[in-house]
Amino acid sequence: MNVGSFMLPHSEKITYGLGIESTAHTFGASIVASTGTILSDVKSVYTPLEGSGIHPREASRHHTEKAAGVIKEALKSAGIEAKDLLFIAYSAGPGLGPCLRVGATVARALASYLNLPLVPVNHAVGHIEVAAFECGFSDPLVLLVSGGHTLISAHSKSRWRIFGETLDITIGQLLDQFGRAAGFGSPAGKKLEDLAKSAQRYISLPYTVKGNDVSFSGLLTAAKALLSSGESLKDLAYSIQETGFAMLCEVTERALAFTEKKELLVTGGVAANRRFCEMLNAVASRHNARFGAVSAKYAGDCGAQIAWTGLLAHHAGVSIPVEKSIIRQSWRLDSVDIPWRSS
Amino acid sequence: MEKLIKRGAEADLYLIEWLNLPAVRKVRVPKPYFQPQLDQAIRSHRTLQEALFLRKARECGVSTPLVYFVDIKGAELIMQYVEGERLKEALSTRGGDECLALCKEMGRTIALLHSHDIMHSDLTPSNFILYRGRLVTIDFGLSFISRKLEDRAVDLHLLKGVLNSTYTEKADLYFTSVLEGYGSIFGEGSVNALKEKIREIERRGRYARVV
Repeated sequence: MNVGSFMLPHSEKITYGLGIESTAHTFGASIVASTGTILSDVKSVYTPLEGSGIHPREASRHHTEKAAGVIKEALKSAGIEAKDLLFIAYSAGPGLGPCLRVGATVARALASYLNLPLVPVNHAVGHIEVAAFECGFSDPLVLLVSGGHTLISAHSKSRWRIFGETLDITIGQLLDQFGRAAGFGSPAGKKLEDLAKSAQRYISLPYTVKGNDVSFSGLLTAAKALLSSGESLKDLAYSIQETGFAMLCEVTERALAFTEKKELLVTGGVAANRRFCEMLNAVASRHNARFGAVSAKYAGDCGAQIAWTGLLAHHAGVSIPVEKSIIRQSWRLDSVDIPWRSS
Repeated sequence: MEKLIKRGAEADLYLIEWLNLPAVRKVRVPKPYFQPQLDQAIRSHRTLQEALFLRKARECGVSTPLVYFVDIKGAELIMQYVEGERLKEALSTRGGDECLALCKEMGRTIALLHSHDIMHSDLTPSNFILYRGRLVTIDFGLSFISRKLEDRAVDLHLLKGVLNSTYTEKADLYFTSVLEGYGSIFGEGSVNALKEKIREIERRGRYARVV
């Protein structure tokens, strides 16, 4: 089948792969078929107490407890058994060490026991590939917006090159940390989006764009200070969204004008925000580019992003021996070789 | 007579005639998808900054287009038309030595701005026009005044990022030439301090390998 710009080899026998995600709050497992379909996607999400963030130790304990059940469920709903698998893919980074180690340990155990190749997947590449697959895009300008990432990228010469990124915290962290100050648990994006709908007025907040890069730390500090001085939470939620999203739209538009790409793809957890997608859609149409957003079910961290990318990587011959399968808490997108994409 | 020459990310550029001279009308058009108050504030502020810094830069010996007319509320600027090739294209079409010389000249220009505390904030090869062997610097909408080493390093870090994503294999050579040109104004000692600061900013980058 044709997946954008690259082909998956045609084969008589359908083969299957398992992908395991465990970079942060989500433990996910997904089964993909060599025909180019995602057969199942099961997850269990660790939820911190209201008003607090992810505790890495608690999150990894959650993953340890849920791992077996989630994987069994992924196999069951795909209607296959472990012996039908051809590879095991796992998120090897970037992310929280204790969480990554749970997924990697499970993946190593399965790969050893079933004698299957182990495929390391970069979590950011996973977000991009699953979205490109869903939207049928072959050469997009990508905006990756989540709790861990905020960057603009396009593929060139076997790497995802970064055209702009945050100089400090991510858009997801901006929303979550403001939400936490307001007493919400993480992720807080959905709650803030709902609150923003009933806002009365726009409050001016720091808007920081440097070239193609953005900075959200000043915006967060100002918004938290205004909240504690008694400003309306609804108005602040609205103003944070409008300001932060406008900054990202601006740098995206600059990158779109600069690269002249004809597809704009948004992926990652914050891609689930309707207002943001509406703004990005307008940016794309101003530059005659098609707009695509990852669907809500694959926007947040999920096994499917790892399984799907694992499939592409496995076909391109990527695998790692168990004894070398370390996890990498720091693993930048632009340092990952992408052998399955041409140009 | 008015001819659209470029629809940029931020503004539309028209070629017009102004007092019998060819001129560029730069209009920061409203973005209907932005919150209206925020949109107006950004467009007016950038127009004002651009007009101010086009003049300030010239005072430092950096070539910029002359400003003929400014309308802050309408977010519109009329300035001298500079006919030439953008450095972005020149760096992809010209020979190796010539490209390095151009990068060196770009570094010298940036250093002139920085030596007068002007941070350009949008240093890309698209914002330099090659005109009669000289570089004309444009797009000062994001510029600001600073005396901090950190801000100078961020300015160059942004340029390094653009060079890396655009001219992948040659980027390192190009950036070395930029710093060489920069050093011809500031001296080698300052350049070393600046290089160290740029490395520090890179290490701060998300998921950068901590070395």
